[in-house]
Formats: sequence, structure tokens, C-alpha cells
Amino acid sequence: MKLRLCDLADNIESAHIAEWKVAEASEVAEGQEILELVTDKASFAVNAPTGGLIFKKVKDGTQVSKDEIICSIKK
Amino acid sequence: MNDKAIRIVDIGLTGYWDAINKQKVIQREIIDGRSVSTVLFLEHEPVVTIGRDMLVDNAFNAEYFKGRGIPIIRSNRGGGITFHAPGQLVIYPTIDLGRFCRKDVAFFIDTLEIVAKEALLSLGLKAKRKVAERGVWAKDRKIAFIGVGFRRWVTLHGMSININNSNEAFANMNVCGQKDITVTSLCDEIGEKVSMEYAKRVFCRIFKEVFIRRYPLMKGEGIEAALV
Repeated sequence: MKLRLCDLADNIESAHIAEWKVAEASEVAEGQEILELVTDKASFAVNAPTGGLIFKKVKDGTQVSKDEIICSIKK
Repeated sequence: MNDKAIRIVDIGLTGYWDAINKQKVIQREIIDGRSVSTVLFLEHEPVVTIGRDMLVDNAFNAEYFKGRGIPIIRSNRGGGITFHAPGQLVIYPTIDLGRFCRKDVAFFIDTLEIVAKEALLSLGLKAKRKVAERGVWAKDRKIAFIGVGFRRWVTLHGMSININNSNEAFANMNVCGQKDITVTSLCDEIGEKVSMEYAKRVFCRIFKEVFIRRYPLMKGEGIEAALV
């Protein structure tokens, strides 16, 4: 399952990857907090929409737009 | 549990971490269904806070703040660097936006700005919002500052409005990460001090009016205020 910014946070056109809370290839549970996103005046704690192994995380500090893939979760 | 949509509580002069930790507890309780949305009105002891905006230059004069024993804190709110002190009204809404069916960051920040603009007007100052910049302004001088956070669409952090505080500290930082911003206060703009208790009452009334207007689902349950 490839996750785009728009899948993780509604109504955000672009954001910075502030801090991943989980390591590459680690197991995450559905609902677990995995990431903090930041826009100019707001920060967001993002929860995993599904459980599984998380891969190909975009690096901390990267700016992503709403349709960009920021990680994949493999069940 | 309180059956109002929101309660507004005045917690008075409060240290930065005391207030944020209190807000985080409320946020957790809201997520767990054990508390209603709550708005804290307060003043902070002098403190510099630096938000997580990664595109701005949060430069500041460390000697100025160190010499006055003012702590500098990194916060996980959005936005750049700012300053808090007594005489500045701080409003920390912990609101479950999902419950009120409006999961929209920009709409929420717009709403806070409208509260500040309309409350300042009630207090005698015609302030404005800008199209391209956040905050509320008296002409080109910034008077209200916003930095928020979200967890499961429950808000954290909020807004500060300079009422009677000195603006000197702001001249020693790139306020909100921007160079050449001049900061002002209500007192400086209208030429007289305004009682903080009165300012809180006005902001409380306007907060209720604006939020109910923009989040109609709050109207049914109402907003309860307990200002001291």
C-alpha cells in the first residue's frame, strides 16, 4: 500500500516531513503514530492507516506535495 | 462529562510547559472520549518559543534573552520564533475538529484570525488580516501570532495577542522567522492600557460568536465559559 500525503492528511497541499517516529522496515500497527508533518503554521501527528511493515520513507526535511508518495506499508 | 460543545477556562499566569502539558492531557482525554473540547485563556511567564516551520530564519539575539534569564524553548507547534510574556493574552484551543465536521487546517487558522480581528475591533483597534501572511496586523505591525498542532484532528497550541506587553523583546528576533517585521500591542496602538480581565471577556464573547458562526454544529450544544 503506497501512501500519499493526501491519504494521510486532508486538505493539505504540501508539507515538510518533520520527523519519522518509526524506523525503516519496522512493523507498525494500524492507528500508530508514525510521522510528524509540518506546514507553515501547523504541525500534524500522522497515524498509520493500516498495519504492516513500513518501507521507502521519504527523508526527514523533505517537502512533499499532496499527491506524492511518502512511504509504503506492506501487510 | 460536561455536555457543552466547548468550555473556555481561564488558567491565569502559567509557565509554558505547564500550559502545554495541561493542553496535551486535555487532547488525550478528548481523543479517548473522556473530555469535551476546551479552550485555555492564559498569560505566560516570559519565554521564547521556536516552532517547527522549516523554511524560515529563526535568528534571535541570544545574549539579550540570556541576560534577562528568559528561557528559549523548542516547541512542536507550527510557525517560527515568537515571544510570550505577561500582558499578552494567550488562547490555546484544544478542539475536536472531527466532531464538528470541519477537518480543515486553513479554515481553523482563518477562524482564529477572525476571532482576533473582531475582538480587537471591540477593544477599539481596527486590525486586519493579510492575504499572503498569517497573523493579525495593525496596518503593517503584527499584533497577533498563530502556531498550531493537530493529533487526530484535535488541535493543540493556538494564538497569542499583544495587549499590554512591551514589544522590546520582539525587536531581538526574526519574529515568526521573518526579518523586518514590526510588532505592536493593543496598548501601543490605542494609546492606553486595557485591563486584561476586560480583554479576556471580550475575546471570550467573540470566540463564542465566531466559532458558532463558522462551525454551526457547535451551536446546538453551546459554549460554556468560566473566566476568573
